[in-house]
Amino acid sequence: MPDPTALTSEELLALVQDARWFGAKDKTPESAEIVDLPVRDPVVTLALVEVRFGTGTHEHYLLDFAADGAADVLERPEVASRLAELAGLEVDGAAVESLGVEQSNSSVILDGLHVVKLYRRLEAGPNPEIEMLRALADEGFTNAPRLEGALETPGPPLETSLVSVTGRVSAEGGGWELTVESLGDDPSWLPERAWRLGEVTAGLHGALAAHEGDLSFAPEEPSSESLQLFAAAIDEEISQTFGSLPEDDALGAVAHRAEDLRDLVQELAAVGPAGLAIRTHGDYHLGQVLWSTDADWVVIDFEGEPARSLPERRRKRSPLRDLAGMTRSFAYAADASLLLWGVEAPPGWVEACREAFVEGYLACADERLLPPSRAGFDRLLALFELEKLVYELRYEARNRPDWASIPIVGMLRMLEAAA
Amino acid sequence: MSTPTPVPERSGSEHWFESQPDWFKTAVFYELHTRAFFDSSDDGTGDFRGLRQKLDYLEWLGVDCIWLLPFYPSPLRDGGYDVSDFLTVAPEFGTVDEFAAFVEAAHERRMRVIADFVMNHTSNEHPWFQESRLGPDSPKADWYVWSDTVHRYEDARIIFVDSEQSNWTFDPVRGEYFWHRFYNHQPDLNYENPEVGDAIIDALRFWLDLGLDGFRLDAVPYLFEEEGTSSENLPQTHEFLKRVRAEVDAGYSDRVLLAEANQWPEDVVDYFGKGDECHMAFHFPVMPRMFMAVRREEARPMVEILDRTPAIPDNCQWGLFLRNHDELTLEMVTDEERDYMYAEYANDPRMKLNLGIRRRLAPLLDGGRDEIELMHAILFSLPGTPVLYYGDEIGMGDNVYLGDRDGVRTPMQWTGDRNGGFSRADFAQLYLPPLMDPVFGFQAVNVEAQLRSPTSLLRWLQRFVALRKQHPVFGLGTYQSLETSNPRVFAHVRTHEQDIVLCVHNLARSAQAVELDLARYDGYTPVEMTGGTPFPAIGTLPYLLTFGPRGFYWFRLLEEPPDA
Repeated sequence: MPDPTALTSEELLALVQDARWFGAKDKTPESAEIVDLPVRDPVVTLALVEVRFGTGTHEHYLLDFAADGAADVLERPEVASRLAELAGLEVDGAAVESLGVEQSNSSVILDGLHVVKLYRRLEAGPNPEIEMLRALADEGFTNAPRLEGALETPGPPLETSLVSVTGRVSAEGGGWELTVESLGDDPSWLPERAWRLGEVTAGLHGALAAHEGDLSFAPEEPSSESLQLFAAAIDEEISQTFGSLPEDDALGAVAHRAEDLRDLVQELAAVGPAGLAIRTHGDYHLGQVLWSTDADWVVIDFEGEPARSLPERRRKRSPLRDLAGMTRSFAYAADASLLLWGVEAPPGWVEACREAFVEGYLACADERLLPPSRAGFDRLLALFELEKLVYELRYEARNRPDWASIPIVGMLRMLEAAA
Repeated sequence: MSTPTPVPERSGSEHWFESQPDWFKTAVFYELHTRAFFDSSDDGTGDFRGLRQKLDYLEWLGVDCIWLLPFYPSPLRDGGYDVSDFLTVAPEFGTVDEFAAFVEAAHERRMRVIADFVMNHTSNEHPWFQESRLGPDSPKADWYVWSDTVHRYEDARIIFVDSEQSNWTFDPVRGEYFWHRFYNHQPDLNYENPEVGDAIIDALRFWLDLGLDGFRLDAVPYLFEEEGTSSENLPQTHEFLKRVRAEVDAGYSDRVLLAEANQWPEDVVDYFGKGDECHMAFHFPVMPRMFMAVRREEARPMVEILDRTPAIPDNCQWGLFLRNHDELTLEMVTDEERDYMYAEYANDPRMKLNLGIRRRLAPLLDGGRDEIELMHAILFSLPGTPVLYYGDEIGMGDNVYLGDRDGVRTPMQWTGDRNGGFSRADFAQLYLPPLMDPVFGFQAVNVEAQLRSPTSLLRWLQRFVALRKQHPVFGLGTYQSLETSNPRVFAHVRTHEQDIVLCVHNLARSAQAVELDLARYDGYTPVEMTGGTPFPAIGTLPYLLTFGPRGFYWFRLLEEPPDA
């Protein structure tokens, strides 16, 4: 059988470099080498590839090979079902549908029932998604996929997770698509469901906070300077983002407001007690929720932000950071609808969604996780929204200048509200 | 639902790190006292639970490895270096479980933890010594170095010249003299007795099994004694350290042994062996010369000591620091240089201690921000791993009125509130008073205030640590000093594979210009590293740079100019 270990550095690089999940697009890899074969099986071989950069740094990626030596073979039924078996699940393995490639993984639907996910970008330590799904199942939270199996390797070189299998959620569609589509014909679709989304989100956080027996989840009193550290980090982000904004008229409205934003950070960071820090979803937005055929929200994708390191993704934080991700996503949906299809959201649509979502959340929230006063809650939520806005501006200015108006409008609105 | 693969039991750092035997070469270390960092129990003394609460801060700062000063039970007559039990935690710091929880929490954040370990001696209150002093029939009779005369090993120098007259002290219980290279309450262990080595290795294992990532080995040159020698750096001592290394390598991965050997570089390199002894060793002599260079405004003292530093094995690394928990040691300078340093940096005699100056970084540099930045720039640019000393990142001061080295071991200054935010205990309960003077006291100098101010030393250093860590060339690269046309400018090149970094520092308090011969980089473009600004391309003519006072540039040298 053709042996993946015989592949040259160039051949390995060719397999890695153009993939969507290759994270280091701004760096030039110099060489690649297989450093471990955690699965060597007649049907499938998984290879841990170390990609090295000229600066002395490296990253790890997982490649899959079939018996005939072909790479990227998850969509072959025998490969997907063999991986599901190795993850501890008995399957028929008759049919496979592609689910496409994400920023950190590839996945397929097996037999219409299971999602088999191959993690591509690997780091040492527990995989947040597997860890979170286990905790949520233990706490009886049912608005998330069910974990059916996992394949992990103890290393060396890395103790890490390779594959997960989850039950397929039967859904009408993703929250993002359904929302953007609804703005054309049924703009009340999300406002009517946002309260429930808040409730589900509160349930998610409540379950994560309840998983106290595991030190990785036990809620923690944040250290006294944690908000200041966070504020300092946003402040650096603002400074860097505005320092490197491209010359573009579209950015003019906000380009000279960096100092005002930095002042606003200091103002918002004066929250007082912020509430307990817990494990959070970490990358929460409308694209991470499904509207199920049972007419309820299901939260998916617990890997956290792909661009962040694993310790950062596993960090305990204020759950309000998840809320900010979702509320920003409402604003994005409204603007995306306008930019993509020229369909304008009704006046007050974003505010209505935001209010219903926040109130639904507060109605069911575990109060230990929140600032004790409503004013503190509002400031902290605004601080997290500002963090998102800065990230959005940086991303859009570089990649999609036409979209930069979305974070700019958000920033200006926030500065106005504070004035 | 089937059972997923059980997660293997967590022990050590393997769980949180990829295996990387030379991780310490690109790391930034941070040295701290558990006692001085944060008090979670309101008793006036810092503890492991408190330390755990401050991990977010250390992670934000960019620390890769925390070096803990001794936390073992001790009568505290030498800041805890007088250990009375190697196998537990001093009760005021918490329990062994709390220690292990702290280490695990640090690992979760991808920070490693090493601890001071005192191999050479124990406290005279250690049960081993209490047993040994009972007499020659005691089972541990030979665990220490006993003699009925003081006329043995007379060629060994006295290290603590301010407090000790002899390396021998009479013990009235046993009626014999015992050997001690440091204080007379710190008897030296007798490594001629193999049981001692075994017991020490067992103690090391105890902590490694709890997940510790290695040790800073205190005072290693003095383990063995031999007549007719200085009793320092003896071959037997190296043999024993090689045995320690072999035992550690056999049982554990990715651990580090960091030797404290305050010796000349040509002697210290022996502590690396052939890459089979210590992973790291401090480079002591470079540090006083950095201070000398800045005061004299000339690069020569640094260039000389670095040129005199022998090559070390590939899997080894120097540890470099500006200041630490001890005095700024002047053992490894000439008498003339020592007089100069005393005159320049210790104008108050209280600042002197033994052969050194007991002051912190900021007061040594008169609080000068430019000087503090320049010293960090030089430190971070040199071949080795930088070790920061707690409090120096905010420019904390010292208290020369406190005894011994306590003046540089005062509580960490977190806020401007009571006790500097270090403890909620009554002021009188604190292990040492926090600094309260108007310049360096906690109301003027604290983490909280500096976090808020983007231009603070703390925020600057956090950015600077991040910059260094983006460029592993600083940890991995070769070092080559550059001839300059201006003796006030210190310039060198670091190279690792394709990565070339040019570091140029103006040591003068006045503006300077320098011409560098960079002809071998003809056609390269220097790109300044803090701001990414490309400078004019290098040609065959001398390359001209101008500097403000105490200014410095770090450049990446790129073959292709970056896109505009």
